[in-house]
Amino acid sequence: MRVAACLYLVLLAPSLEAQGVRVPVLSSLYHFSACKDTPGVFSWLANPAMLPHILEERAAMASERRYMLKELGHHMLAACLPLRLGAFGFAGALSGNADMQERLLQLGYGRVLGKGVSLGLSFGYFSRQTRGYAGTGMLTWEAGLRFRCTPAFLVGLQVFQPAGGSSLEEDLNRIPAAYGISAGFSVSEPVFIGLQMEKRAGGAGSIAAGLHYQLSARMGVSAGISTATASYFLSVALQWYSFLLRVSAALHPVLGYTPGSSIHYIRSRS
Amino acid sequence: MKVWMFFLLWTGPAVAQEELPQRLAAQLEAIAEAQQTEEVDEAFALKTAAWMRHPLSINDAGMKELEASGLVTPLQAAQLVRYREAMGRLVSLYELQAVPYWDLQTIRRIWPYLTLGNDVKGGMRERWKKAAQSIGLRAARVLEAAKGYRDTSGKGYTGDRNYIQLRYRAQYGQLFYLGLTAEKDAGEPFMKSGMKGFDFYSLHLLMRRLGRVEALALGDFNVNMGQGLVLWQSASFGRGGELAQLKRQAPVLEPYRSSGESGFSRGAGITMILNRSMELSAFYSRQRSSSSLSDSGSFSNLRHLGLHRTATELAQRAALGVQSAGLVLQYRGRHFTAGWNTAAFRFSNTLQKRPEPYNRFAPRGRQFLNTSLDYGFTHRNMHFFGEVAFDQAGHPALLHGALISLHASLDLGLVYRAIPARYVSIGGAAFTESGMPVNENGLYASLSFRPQHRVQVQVYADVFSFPWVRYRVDAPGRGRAFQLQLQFTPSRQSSIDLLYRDKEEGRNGEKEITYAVGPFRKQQFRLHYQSALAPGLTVKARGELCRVASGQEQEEGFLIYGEGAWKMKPLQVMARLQYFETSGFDSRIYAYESDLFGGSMPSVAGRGYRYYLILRYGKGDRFSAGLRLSQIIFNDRSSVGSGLDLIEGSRKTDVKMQVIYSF
Repeated sequence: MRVAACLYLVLLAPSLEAQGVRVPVLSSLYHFSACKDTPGVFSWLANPAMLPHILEERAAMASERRYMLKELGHHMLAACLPLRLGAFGFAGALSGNADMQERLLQLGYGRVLGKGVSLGLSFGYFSRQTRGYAGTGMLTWEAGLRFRCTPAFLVGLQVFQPAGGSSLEEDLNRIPAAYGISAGFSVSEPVFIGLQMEKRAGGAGSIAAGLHYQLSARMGVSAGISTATASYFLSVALQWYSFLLRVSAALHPVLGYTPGSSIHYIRSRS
Repeated sequence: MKVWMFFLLWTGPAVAQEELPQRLAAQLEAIAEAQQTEEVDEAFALKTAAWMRHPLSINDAGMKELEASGLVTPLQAAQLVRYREAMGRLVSLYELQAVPYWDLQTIRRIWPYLTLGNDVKGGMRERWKKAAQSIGLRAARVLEAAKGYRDTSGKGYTGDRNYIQLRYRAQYGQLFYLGLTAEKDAGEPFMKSGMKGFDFYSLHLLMRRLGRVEALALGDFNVNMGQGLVLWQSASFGRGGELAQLKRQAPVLEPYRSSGESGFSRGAGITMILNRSMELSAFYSRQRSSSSLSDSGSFSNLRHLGLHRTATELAQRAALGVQSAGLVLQYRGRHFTAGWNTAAFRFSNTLQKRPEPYNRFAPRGRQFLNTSLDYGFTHRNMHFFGEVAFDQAGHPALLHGALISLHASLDLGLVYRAIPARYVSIGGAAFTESGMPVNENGLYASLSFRPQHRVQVQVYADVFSFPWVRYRVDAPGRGRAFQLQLQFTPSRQSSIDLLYRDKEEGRNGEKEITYAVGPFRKQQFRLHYQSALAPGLTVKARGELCRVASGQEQEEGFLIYGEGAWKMKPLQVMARLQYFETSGFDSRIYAYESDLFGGSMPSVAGRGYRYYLILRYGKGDRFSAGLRLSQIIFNDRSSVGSGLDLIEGSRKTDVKMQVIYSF
């Protein structure tokens, strides 16, 4: 079961992650996953309070091609380092193409505050470069809380750049604030369901719901839906020793498919 | 208009005594939204506190007391009485689990309000000596000066920005109530502009069980009849509540302990016991009410907010004389109850609504009379109730309902109402969309399901129609409402609520020659979490998304908040931080807030933040004090409010304080 749990851990990926960078379409698949009791390496980008619950040293890289368009590619790297003082996370994201690029570098820290409560903070530097124009950049920050009601039931609360308030439409040099609340419930050992409600200032609110089923110790399947873009998602993950490969796809009824993949490394404490 | 909703009591896991449980708060939010009000009357909190101090004796309370308490359904009340007759007095509260239809959730919910014995009794002197008494001072102020306070043209507010309330309360169980309230709203003059003291005074005295006199009320009191088609002045819940709230249940006479300046009776009332199964109640009320009179002397608004801040509002003060009287004859048998109710109103001036199509059948004249028959009947696992009422012109109105326990974990509630547009009721408050018993037909069905002890599912569906046009709806129309609420309690300390609500009805669209009435649909989704992390430490979090579609236009609203409360006697600290963003007024979101004065239900529209901080200090049962600071900060506007309440700037800050001494 430990293998199954590890498999699931690395499935988890960002949701509110990289608000400055174009949010990956496939992130909606994993919105709910940041509430799992045993989160994966990308989960702290959804909620920094997940960091102290990532028990092993991990690293992962992920890519997606939005609606099959090369110009809308999205690439991410993430790693986490659990220490006695708390856990640290490092991440980088790159979105766009040579003509228009957005980048985000993040550093996160999280620790358990007490019985059932964890707090996490992350700080980042966001930059945007458009060919022929001067580049812009700014510092970002994010905070998250995680409440553990029972071993099977978790709730998270996330805030990104609350003082950043204004929307991109109003000021291209500022990025919008984002807020989220999520809940996750392990129905049984192989079945997990999750729900996240999210809002970006000036944008549409969204609800994402997902289900994960662990088919075997080495294979898991996740599926979900997000109301923001009315997209459906499916992901299959396979684990081989310390490595895990995930292949995902999202379907938008008008814009089409978004394929994605990620590879994860987990360093066992033994 | 105030929300008259303060009767039912609730409790839940992991909440402080002052806090409302989530299910009840959600229901109050729905009612506030339907009635477009932001006020929650403090009488609700007072009632809860009184039940905590003097719990209901399950071994002594009869059918009447159990039903009137509002804690249980008539079916549960009947089963408890039957159980006592068969098995004798209960030896433990845990024995309630053996009573048919008393499920674990109900028992947990009302546990703090129950006791095995010690039914409060005694003569007048003893009641007075044992009564819990308190004196309180409350004050509030908006820190930013609104336009009305800066106006020098004579059209602004005549008083200062302070809200002040003084009150005295004495209560002994449900047998004796005495109280005095003196209040001045912000902007109202105090000892000036012809005002000799406070703007509003209210005095109440109510005593129960004085020999053959079941209840005697003097001063200000509430009168309740049947199912609200004729007259109902106490709490009245609407859709989405517990099944126990589906049927209107309250004594005919209740003390009026709120500070609202309308919607109550002032005079005297009495309930006499005629024999073992018959009671006769009578009341007479005479008061001066504020009203805006036309040049011809007529008035158009039955309910006045009670604000007397400007010269115009002061001129409306006590402009209208209102007299009312009524009789209630009640029969209470073993399984059957029936009542005959009649109420009459007489105004000093003529009631004349504006000549608009939606006022075609509105009440008109100086004298009004309503009469009705109501009933309640229990058969096995079913309880039926209803009321048939007639107005002065003989127009009938019907309301019938049923509460059915289908299974130990499954309850069904039904309410059918047929109230024609021509039916006129001055003081009614029935189970309808607007709360007013007029111009509505409908069928409501509610299902409460407890698949296991940690999960409760509540579903309701309501289909309704309006035979005549209404305000902002220029055609007769139909509507529907649906709600699914899932409460999951993974542990005694935590609970999570998921709510989905969908309502559609007609509303005026674009105006061409006339307004085209189109569908107006509002969908809401809510995730609410609360947990007691440690003794004295409670956290709450909520996210809510709301979508509104009206013709081609769409709006969206979002709200998220986190709240923490830390209680370490004698101090309690509570704080909430909230973000909101709506794309219009129709997508505004209501969220219940803890307050020093009971609770409040502010709606938020636009984009910005809202936070509040509450500090409470209580030394023993004698002394308590509280301070509340709340502020709303808009990101999308440079002024707050409108008219004389307009504040220049994007912030509005409220400060409230309260001091209570009990003896």
